[in-house]
Amino acid sequence: MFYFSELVNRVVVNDNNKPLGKLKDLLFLAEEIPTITKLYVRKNKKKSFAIPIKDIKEINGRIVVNRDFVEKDIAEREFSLAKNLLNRQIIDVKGGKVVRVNDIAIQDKEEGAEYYIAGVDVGFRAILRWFKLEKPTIPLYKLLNLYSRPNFLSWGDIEPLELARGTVQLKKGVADLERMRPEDLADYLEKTNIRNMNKIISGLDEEYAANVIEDLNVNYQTALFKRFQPEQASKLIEALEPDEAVDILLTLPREKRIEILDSLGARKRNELKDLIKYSRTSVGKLINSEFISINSEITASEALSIVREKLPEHPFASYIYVMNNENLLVGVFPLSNLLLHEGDEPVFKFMEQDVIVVHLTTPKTIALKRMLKYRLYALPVIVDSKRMIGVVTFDDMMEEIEEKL
Amino acid sequence: MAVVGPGIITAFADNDAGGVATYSVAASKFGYPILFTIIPITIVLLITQEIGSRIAVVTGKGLGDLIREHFGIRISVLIFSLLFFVNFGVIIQNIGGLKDGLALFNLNLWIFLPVVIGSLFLFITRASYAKVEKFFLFLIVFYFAYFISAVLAKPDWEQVGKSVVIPPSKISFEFLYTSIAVLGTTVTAWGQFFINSYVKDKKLTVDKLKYNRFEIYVGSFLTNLFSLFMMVAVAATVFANKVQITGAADAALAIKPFAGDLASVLFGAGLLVAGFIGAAIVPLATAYAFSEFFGYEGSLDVSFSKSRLFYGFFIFQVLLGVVAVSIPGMSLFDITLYADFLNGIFLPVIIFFLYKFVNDRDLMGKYVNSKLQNVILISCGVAISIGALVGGIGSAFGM
Repeated sequence: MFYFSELVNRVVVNDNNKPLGKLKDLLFLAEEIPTITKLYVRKNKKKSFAIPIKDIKEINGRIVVNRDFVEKDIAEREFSLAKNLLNRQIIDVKGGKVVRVNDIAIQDKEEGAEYYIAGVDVGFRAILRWFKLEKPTIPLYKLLNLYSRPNFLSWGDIEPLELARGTVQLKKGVADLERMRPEDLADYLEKTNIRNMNKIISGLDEEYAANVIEDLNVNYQTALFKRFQPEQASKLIEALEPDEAVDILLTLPREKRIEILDSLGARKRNELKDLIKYSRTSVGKLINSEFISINSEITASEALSIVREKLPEHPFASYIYVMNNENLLVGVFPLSNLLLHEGDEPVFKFMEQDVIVVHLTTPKTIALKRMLKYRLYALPVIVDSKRMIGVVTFDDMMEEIEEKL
Repeated sequence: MAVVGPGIITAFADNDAGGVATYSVAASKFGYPILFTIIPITIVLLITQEIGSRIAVVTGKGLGDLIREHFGIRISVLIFSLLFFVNFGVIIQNIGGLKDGLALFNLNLWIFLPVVIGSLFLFITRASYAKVEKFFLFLIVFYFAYFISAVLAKPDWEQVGKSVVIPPSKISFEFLYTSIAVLGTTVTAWGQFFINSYVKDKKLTVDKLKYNRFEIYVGSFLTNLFSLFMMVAVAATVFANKVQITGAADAALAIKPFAGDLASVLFGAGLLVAGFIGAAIVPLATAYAFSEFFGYEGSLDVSFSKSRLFYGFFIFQVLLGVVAVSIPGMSLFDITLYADFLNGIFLPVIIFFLYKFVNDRDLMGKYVNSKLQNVILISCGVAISIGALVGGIGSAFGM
């Protein structure tokens, strides 16, 4: 194994010992195994060319190539080590942070027949290596007991933040990223620019992408949605929590908002339009229109099967809201209560009838006080007389408070 | 409101303790005619700051990030070392300004300097991003002290107005050198790094560019307006009565007999605040640059435990600065000259990078510089380097 810093700027000669120029770069295929394909050599200010790797006779020590090699151009799928990877920011998927590539390690396989990128060095020693100070400082490292801590990340554990050269994307794809918590990925994406952010998000699974977007800074959310095609935008809006979706829609210019709303399904469109309308009221922006409701006359076991069916869509539901035949809110019970009651017991017998609610005009502080006083994780929001339009959750309330802190 | 911060805070921090000193000395030497420099300085400041900020908004990257990515590790280490060195001079200036300011009010140095530095440290590491920003915006109110000092100095306002727009009848070599020094103290290398990192840290996006630009213009205008008052206060009193001064604290004392106690106190208070802002922001600028160049997580938005290196770097510089000003016999006047001079020769290097990045279509797309912006950017780079070199050689040979 050797490092790119040790190769760069070395003189490349052919097997007649005739100097061809200085090594400036290596080209590689960004695939599962990132194979080095060409050496990029600069002869003088005007002339640079690429030499295919198969014409390399020696690379460690001297760089020697076959005298009858054929000059090649950069192929479409090839990336540049110096321009696309070195000095760039990458996500350390395992360690969960964004770091800069200080050097690149190259591994040779089968006695130099093939070379590939083993990984990247992000440590301080790599910086010393560029100044040829790594070896002289080893005793110092040993003295300070730092020697055994290399900062080496293997190719499988990194994800470049900047994925593209022109229109070509790294084949590695972004699937690896989905191993991370969306909240963390959102933090890392905020370290790159909108263009790259857009590229990465567009490559993610929609559900996952929606979770990432929810955690981005609002400026980035707006900028992203301005760039999305209406089709992509509407898919993501569908996948977002309705209250988040409304927040984003409200930051967009009117035409863009209408364009996205129009491309949604009728049900979702009306739901969001209502929420947008409510958003001007005091608790309005916090309303989440997704909740689980059942009819008061069904039994506990029937209720349980409805909950089983709906829970995957509402994983955070903590209460079940009970409606009468006119679809007005008449009761509520915590999800866990279903475990306590006999299967044939009707819901109205054990539900709490005195429901603590908020109205659109209820100030946020009052809503929060009610939550704390009655120890509730969510409060139903009702309009007219007892028609329920959504819930305000403790989480959303906390986020609101966090912003004020 | 969401865009307010970078332009105004950076511009005001450019009027740090070193700035107050340079402006005071310049006004005490030349009187009203030096006011002619204000308009050109405002233009240069707002153009360079706007370019730096535009780069950050469009690319989402700081100047350190970009230098590292386009010029590699060796250049990065070199530029960072220079930046560290130059900024350190500015930090000493500011802590020195704090020290002089405290002495003016007869506050015991060994009690108050640690208190001020300690609270600065706690505040930067503990307070949230929004609070730090608001606090700095609030401090700016104290710059009004210069306005009041200027009024109390009873200057000839008609003369002030004329001097701002009409070039002085004879321009000596020394006048030219002083003008460049005044420019160099306002348009700084660290300011270029700082506005860039700050805008990036604030996560502004392209659709906010218009407001961001406006905010920068307002900041540049206001900060130079206060510089103007500062110089007016000194010119109307110290210059008019032919008193010799070598620094800002000197100026505060020299104003007293002519403009009264209040003017003198306010001038001193302004110096204290300027020192405080400078002592906080310049080390921050270096810390930001360090994390950009070498890829460690660093931002005011991240907690202390996560960004230890970032904050550590901040503290290290401040403490080193405190040690430096505590060395007996250290002449702050010499340090001010040295820091301004270093800044003067380093700034053109930064302008070169700005020029490179802002005209790179791959990076900036349609937001590249216009021809006029390039002409102004290059001419200030050239003017500053010539000025710094000539001035530096001149003062080295005691001219």
